[in-house]
Amino acid sequence: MSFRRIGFYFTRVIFLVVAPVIFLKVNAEEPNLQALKEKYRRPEEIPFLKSNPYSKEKETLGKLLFFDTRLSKSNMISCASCHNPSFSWGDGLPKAVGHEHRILSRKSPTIQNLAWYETLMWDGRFKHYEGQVPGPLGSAEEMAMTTEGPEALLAKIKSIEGYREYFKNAFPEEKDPYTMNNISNAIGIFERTIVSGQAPFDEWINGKEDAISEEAKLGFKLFNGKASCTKCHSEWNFSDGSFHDIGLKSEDLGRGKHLKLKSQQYAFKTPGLRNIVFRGPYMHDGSEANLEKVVEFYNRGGDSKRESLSRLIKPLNLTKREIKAVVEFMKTLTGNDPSVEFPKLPR
Amino acid sequence: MKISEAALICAVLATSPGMAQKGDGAAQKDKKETTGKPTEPPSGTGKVHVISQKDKKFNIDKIKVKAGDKIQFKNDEKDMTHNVFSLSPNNTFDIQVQEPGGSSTVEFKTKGVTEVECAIHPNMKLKVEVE
Repeated sequence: MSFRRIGFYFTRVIFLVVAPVIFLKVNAEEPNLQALKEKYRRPEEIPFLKSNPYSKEKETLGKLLFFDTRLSKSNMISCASCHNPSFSWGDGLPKAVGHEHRILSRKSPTIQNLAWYETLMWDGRFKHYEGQVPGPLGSAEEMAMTTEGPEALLAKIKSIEGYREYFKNAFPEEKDPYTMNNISNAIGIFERTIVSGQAPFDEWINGKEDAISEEAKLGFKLFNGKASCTKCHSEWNFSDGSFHDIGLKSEDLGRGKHLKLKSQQYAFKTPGLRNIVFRGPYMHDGSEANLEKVVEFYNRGGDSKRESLSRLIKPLNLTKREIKAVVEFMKTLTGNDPSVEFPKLPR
Repeated sequence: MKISEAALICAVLATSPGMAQKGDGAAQKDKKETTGKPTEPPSGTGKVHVISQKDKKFNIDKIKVKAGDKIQFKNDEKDMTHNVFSLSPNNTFDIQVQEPGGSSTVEFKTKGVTEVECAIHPNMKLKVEVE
């Protein structure tokens, strides 16, 4: 056969057989990517509890209480001290700072996007925002507020004339609305409204192809594939609310301290990843300085081999380029958050 | 395969279920005749209900069982472990870590409501009403 004839047949094979096969294979992948993207669509509404339905008055009161440092024994710590809107509702520190400036054992987690979860805190010991409020308020290490005596929380709030109208409006059916339950419910309503804004990632989910870079798109594929991040960091907020021992060197038993099951020793809650660039350093003990170090931590399969170590933690064999792509993807989760107006507190 | 071999296999398959049933019936009949007691299952060997765990969910969120019944918890995930447990005082248990493909059976002895959860995935909840 002459070279010309070989060339003739070669080009026919390429155009009539190989090219269509490649075309069909590429398009067959597209429906899979589309189905994957659907899993990350933002919810339409914020959920509220039947026992604590939304009202504007409760939200208003809740916001005042959230920013009010008088809810602490020292008069210097409010919920907003550790859950500061300027630090993506965390405090930017490796570990929280509590009453009398003592450094605590765990990092302040963000309180953004938690209306969709029931089991809260690093160790899962409180249910819902409403169940979490009394914890730090009464903790001797944190706000150190007492419930008995003249300096007790309710007596203190009652003595502030300016709160009277807000409590009356928020709980109009109650003769004495100054209860711990009402304070928890009001703050809980306000906290439920703290939701991260639209991010470039959301625009890409909605069909805007140039919303994120090609490197970030590769990062998304790795996040869902080789890097295995979505085994825990799944759904629109990138957390399924699960508890795992991921193999950090920390001696903190986490959930295992109060839920005495083997699998829950050294287990901590999976945090969400929206606005994650603003929340370093990372992990419950602030031990990883930046997002690259976080991915490297997972890449080596954690640092502690224990019986309780999650079966999901194993070396990932990601290349340097792949680690960078995963980090680039996480940067696309930075939302256009609404600005927060600081309230004028009652006197 | 030859037709004669196929015919032989078909004949074996066609008769074996019938043989098994006949065998069970014969055993039951013998028991009735020899002991005189009614042929009901002995106490403590209640029904076994099967619950599947898949996509980080139980296949149902509520079930009514009789005291003495059992629930077989199956992990039908591809690569996710679970840890089904309950702290309800009437039926406290901990299956511990269950790998994909694993199966563990728990007896629900005491009447009342047993709240069952997965320790790893707290959104997985099953309410067992033991009657």
